[in-house]
Amino acid sequence: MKTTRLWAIGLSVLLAAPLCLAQAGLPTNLQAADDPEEPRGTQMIVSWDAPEEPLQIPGMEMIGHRILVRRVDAEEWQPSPLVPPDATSAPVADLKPWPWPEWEIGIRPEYQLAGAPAAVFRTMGWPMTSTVAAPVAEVGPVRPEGNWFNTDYTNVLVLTLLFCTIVIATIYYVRGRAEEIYIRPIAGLEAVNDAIGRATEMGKPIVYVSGLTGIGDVATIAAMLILGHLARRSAAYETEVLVPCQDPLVMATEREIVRQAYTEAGKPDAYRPESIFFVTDSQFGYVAAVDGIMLREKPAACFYMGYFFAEALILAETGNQTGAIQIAGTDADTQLPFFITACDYTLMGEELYAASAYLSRQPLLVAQLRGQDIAKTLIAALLIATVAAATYAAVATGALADAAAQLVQWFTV
Amino acid sequence: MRLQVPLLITFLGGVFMAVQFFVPHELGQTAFAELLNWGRIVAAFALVLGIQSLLRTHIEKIRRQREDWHYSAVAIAAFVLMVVIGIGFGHGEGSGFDWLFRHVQVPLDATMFALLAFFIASAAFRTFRARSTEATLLLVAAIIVMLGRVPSTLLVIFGDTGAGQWLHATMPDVSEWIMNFPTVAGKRGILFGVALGSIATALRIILGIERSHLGGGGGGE
Amino acid sequence: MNFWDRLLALDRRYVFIGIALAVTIPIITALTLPLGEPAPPTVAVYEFIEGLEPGDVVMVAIDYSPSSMPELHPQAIALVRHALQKDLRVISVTLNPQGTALARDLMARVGAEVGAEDGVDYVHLGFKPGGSQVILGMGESIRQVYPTTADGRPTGTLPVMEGVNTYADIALLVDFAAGNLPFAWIAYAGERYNQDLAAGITAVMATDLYPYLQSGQLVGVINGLKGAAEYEVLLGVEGLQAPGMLGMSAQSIAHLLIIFLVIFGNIAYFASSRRRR
Repeated sequence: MKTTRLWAIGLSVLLAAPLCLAQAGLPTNLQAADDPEEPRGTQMIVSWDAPEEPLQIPGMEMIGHRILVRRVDAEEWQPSPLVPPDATSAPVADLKPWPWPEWEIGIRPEYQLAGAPAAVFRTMGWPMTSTVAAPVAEVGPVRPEGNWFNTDYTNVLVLTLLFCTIVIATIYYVRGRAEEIYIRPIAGLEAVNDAIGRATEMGKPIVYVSGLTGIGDVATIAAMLILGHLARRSAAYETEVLVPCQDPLVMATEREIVRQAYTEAGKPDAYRPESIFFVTDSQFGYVAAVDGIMLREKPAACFYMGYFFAEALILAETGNQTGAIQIAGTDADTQLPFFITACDYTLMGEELYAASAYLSRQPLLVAQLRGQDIAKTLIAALLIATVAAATYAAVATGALADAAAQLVQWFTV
Repeated sequence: MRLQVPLLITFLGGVFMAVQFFVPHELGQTAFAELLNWGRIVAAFALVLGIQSLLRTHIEKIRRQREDWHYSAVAIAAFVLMVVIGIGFGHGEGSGFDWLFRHVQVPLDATMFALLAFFIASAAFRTFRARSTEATLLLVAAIIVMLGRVPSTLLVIFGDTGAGQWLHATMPDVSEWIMNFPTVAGKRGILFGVALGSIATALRIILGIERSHLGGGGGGE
Repeated sequence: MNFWDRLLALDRRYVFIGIALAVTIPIITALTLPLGEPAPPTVAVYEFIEGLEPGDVVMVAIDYSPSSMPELHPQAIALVRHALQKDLRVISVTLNPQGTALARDLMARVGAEVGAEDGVDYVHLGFKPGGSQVILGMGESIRQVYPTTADGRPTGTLPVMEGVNTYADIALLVDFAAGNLPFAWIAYAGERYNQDLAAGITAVMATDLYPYLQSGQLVGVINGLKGAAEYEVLLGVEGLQAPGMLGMSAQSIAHLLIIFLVIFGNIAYFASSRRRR
């Protein structure tokens, strides 16, 4: 068996031997350029001219060109997939641009035994290509160029910068007279004090659920900020706040927030870290545990702040069954109807994010709310303008209609 | 220092994550991927804290024999069982872990989710009232959408009559229209507010305006 | 306290009993009800797969857990069956750890029913943690993210994976999910790598996904149990091969009960002495 295989390899080498001697028949004018369609800077397009007289080897057929890549300081070529014989360009991928290496790119024709012998060799699992020591046409050193800015996102960048500028400028100009700014009363946040008072009177705990998304979600961050305010107030009355967590990172952060709140309220000794505990990261396992806590502890108030999924109604209905005062706040629009149905108060969408400013009345935060409102008005105006432009572009012709169409196009991501 | 260092890290991290969105270069994307990996590593360590918290809560409850402490014993036994079977005997197809997953976790999860049907029915019965014009509009829209989702119920109500057939054919389209236009319009309105609110929240954390989560200083009362 | 007052004060457990009966009786009696015309978003997914050539690759992401299985599993079964019947290659992945066993069952079950061969016509690559990272990674190289399948076979040697390494080699990616993973697939696979996407979702998520359907970022959406049943009608399957249709009768009767409860609740509300006061 081993001897037969050696024979086969020997035959391949023998048939490939003319290649070793022939520089003629190789692709010429080999060039490599950055691939403009590939923004990461890891791909180049290599192009070549087909040889005027391709090398013919009796008994063998050309099956394509093998593109080879190596770093300038490397010895070994790394092969890329084979490209068809009639191709004159091909992409070369995975040229990592960091830490700025230079590359050499080569190309060589590849041959295999033609006709029946090839089939026999293939069936027997023997090598059928002859790439042994074939000459390589080279180009290099070359390097792909990545893009440092995605121009498709120009509109996103402009609008984000505009929005951030409006918010920061408003904070700068308004912070001195923040107390004059009118904030629409939000019933759910007004009721926070009532809920704490009720819990204190009844001597029952408050249950606080900060959503089912991780710490990377802004809704969870907003929920944690609200917990800070709630803990500061409940610490003053030494009312227990139970915080079952679905994410250990959220749990660790919330412990720190509540500990700080108790310290600020002058009651550091009243802080009990075990009130903020991890339950499970399984969605319905968590719901089962929180439902159990509510039914056993019969809390005076339940807070559901953050992002929720299908568990929203199961939590809120169980809380409702226990007779607790319930305040929810979420930006999960699909769950809003359920909270509105089963809770006493619901913060809708952005009210969740405004809660921290509302509860603290801290000048910088209140000023930022004003900035947010100005930006929202601007967006509403832009919406109306682009809808009008899109309508005009659809019904009219001429330079103005083209300009309107371009305006709409600019806003399209 | 205790406050400044976290604020500086937050600022640099926040600005980098915002900038990398616009930078398609391999360097930016590799750094982005690397940062996400860091996040996963931190999360893995936090899981240790989580498990410690879970065990401590339940062991404490058993030790003090608080009300319903038996459930805590069940929770700990289940936890230990899954860990021992999963780590000790593997969790591939046909393993004990796989069996427990299919025959305990799957039905329990499905059961909890199924509670939703009961709660939706009781909540709808208790609170869905046509108290005002807006509430009436919502009520009618909700009934149309429900009928559109299960058009065969119209044949149950009206029988195989002309009216039944017509409603059976039409109601799904009306339901689709409500979902496609008024609902999406309202949703987009909420989305704008949510998007702006989340950018503003991120901005005030990145810039250190909101720092109540770090303790002390701005954002407090 | 008159009749209407008593109706308003009805113990919620009676409502629970009503729902339990409305769900169980149609299932026990195998009641089937006509479905009506399939919704356009479901038809769009079906038509897209119909338009593919044998050998094309469909990737399915089984991103749901057992809790949403009743709604999403029938969808996935119908779609995978459709793809395998059309001689398309099907690759499944999951970003939800609880989806691993579900995906494995799904592929093995449908594969056996259709007579497809594991590793040749379909394969389950398994679960990878990391969510968006995994989605981004597959845009560069699926084989790097999944060097082996869920049961340890090297991905590179499987006939089903021949010529498949990035999203460019995948004709359609369908995400079945109950959470927010469809948005990650849209943002990363769809927007960054121009992958054609469809989604199979729970009915409550429909409003979340419709904007993406309108903008063309999704080629179609299979919406809830009804979507599954519609897909089964389009495929022409019935009986035990159509779990969506079986579930739809229970869902229909339960919906009907809820509608009656809402209507009676309102009649009672307006007729009750409390309201008159």
